[in-house]
Amino acid sequence: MNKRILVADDEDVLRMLITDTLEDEGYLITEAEDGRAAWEILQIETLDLVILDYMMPGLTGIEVAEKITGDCNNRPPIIMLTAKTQESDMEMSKNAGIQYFMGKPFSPIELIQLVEEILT
Amino acid sequence: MQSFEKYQKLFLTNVSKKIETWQELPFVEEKEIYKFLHSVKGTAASIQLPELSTEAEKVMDHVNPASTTSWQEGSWSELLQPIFLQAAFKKELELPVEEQELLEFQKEEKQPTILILENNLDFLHHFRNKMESHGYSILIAATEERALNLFYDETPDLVVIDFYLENKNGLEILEEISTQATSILTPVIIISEDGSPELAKKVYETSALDFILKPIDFEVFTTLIRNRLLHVRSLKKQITTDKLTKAYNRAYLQDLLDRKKRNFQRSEETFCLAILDLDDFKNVNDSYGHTVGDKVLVQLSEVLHASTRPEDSVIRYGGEEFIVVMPVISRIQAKRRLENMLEEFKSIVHTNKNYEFSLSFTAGLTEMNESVSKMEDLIVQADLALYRGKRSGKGTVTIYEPTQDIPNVLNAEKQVHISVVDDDSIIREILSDRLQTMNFFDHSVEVRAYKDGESFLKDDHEGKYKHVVLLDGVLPGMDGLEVLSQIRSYDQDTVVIMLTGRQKGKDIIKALNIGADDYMTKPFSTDELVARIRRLIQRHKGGKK
Repeated sequence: MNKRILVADDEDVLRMLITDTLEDEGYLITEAEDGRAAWEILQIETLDLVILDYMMPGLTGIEVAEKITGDCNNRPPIIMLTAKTQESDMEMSKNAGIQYFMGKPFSPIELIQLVEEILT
Repeated sequence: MQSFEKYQKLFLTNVSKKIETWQELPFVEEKEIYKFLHSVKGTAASIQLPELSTEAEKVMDHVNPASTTSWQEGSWSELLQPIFLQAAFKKELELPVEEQELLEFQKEEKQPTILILENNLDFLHHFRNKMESHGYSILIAATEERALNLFYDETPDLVVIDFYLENKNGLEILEEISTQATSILTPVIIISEDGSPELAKKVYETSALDFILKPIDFEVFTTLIRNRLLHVRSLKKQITTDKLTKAYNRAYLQDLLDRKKRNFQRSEETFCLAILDLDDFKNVNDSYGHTVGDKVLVQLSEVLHASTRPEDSVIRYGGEEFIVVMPVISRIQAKRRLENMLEEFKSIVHTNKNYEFSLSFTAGLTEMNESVSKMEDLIVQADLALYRGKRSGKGTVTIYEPTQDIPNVLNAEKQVHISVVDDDSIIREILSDRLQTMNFFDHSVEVRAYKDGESFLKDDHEGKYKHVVLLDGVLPGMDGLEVLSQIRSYDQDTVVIMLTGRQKGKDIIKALNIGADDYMTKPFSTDELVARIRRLIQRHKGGKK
């Protein structure tokens, strides 16, 4: 069974890059272009992994993560894409139930490795 | 390794779009600017555009995500200029040329050139953008005098004249251009705010083709211009004679050389090709006017026709350049013939009112042989010999020698010199980097940057055959306009592009009057700048090579 991943990032180009990279690896991708759309999808679809951008309009990555750990029946693992590496943000993210981080800029290979590590 | 081209392309397009959207707004919120920079920083480095990411990071220090301030275009464009330049720079580098869409006329060897006489900057702006997006090259004149000079020097394919230029009546210039234009099939279009039948009648009496009322619908206008150009092109196709001198024209030369090449391949029938260039012709036009200049050209053409054999061909190659093709003749014989023509021409006394003067020409000569693969090369060889003749003192006939000091000549001719005069060190640096990698045929490009007008003027620019100056309008010490008039006081050939703020409409007009060839308003894209430089050098003397 192919694993299903949600990619939420408001930056078109980066979202496309992630989607293409992971589709090439055989994953099924659903895209969301902001936090609110991501949350709507999460309520309908069953997902194996969620990749969230930190800074998104509507709902931020952390807010989406909080909703996942709070209200969601299915609690997929979350990767947070972030340019911010401050301690306080890391703390806040961990409180929201985020276990994995990927700092921008990242290389597609790094991302694939992390995704494989989580999903196998 | 994965290719990032697709993402880079999309990303860079998004960046340009963003800036275009912002340009439409009266101001942009500081937090919007922050968000934009944040996204550039994060994304650019992930798709292998690290320089762009670094630039964004640097600039981010100047904006606060929590700020409630709004920025006006002048301020944000200045802040973002490094990013914009960097983005535009990448865009051109990453995209293969073939992928760029070719517009109708761009497929042709030479883009049609439109001369516009207009001093309303808004209109000019609009017109230029619109026409350039259709692949036309635009010559700008803000005064009648400049319009006339451009008309004679550059022979545009179409002329647009705004009839009601401030303070002056456009009718006189209209008559002069119109009469001349009709005889060389150049359409003249008049635009005007006054649509009275009296004026319309007057305008049409000058043989202008179209009289269009402002405000202008640019879609309709573009179509009209295209139709006029297509019509003229089809007419010109049927004509192989230069109207003024009765010599053959360039279109004919192409056919002729194709035939000669086939002959040579079939029967080894060789021929000589010479390029002749009138010496100091510009002085004639400047001192006695173009009518006298035209007479001189006609006389030269008559001398050439009278002293050539029926099997020879005389072609008017450019403004004051002629090509003579002589079949089955040795180089020595050809040289002797040309020298006779030169003596003959030198002996003619030209008159204008109370003045009398004589003129000479310089010629470069070469002969067809096996090593010449393209006919263009033959012209280049003759031209190199001509160039050597000009340098060693004009009024001579020089035979092309591949072994001699040609590399030096070649270097001088195949070099584009660009001078960037701007007090902003970032702009100097980015433009220098970008322009150094610019391609212009097989020319090498040398860029020099100056932080003010004084240091530019002090430098030695002699021997810069193709020289482009990018001149900032506002400079510390000597002002940009002053620098420009200094340049023009001794040099008409250097191409000058003013770099100026959008709000400086008056200065742009002033600069054009003093003799700037073109202008760019900040923020500009380097793509556009490079395209403009290419066009201007191509138009410039020797640009055809």
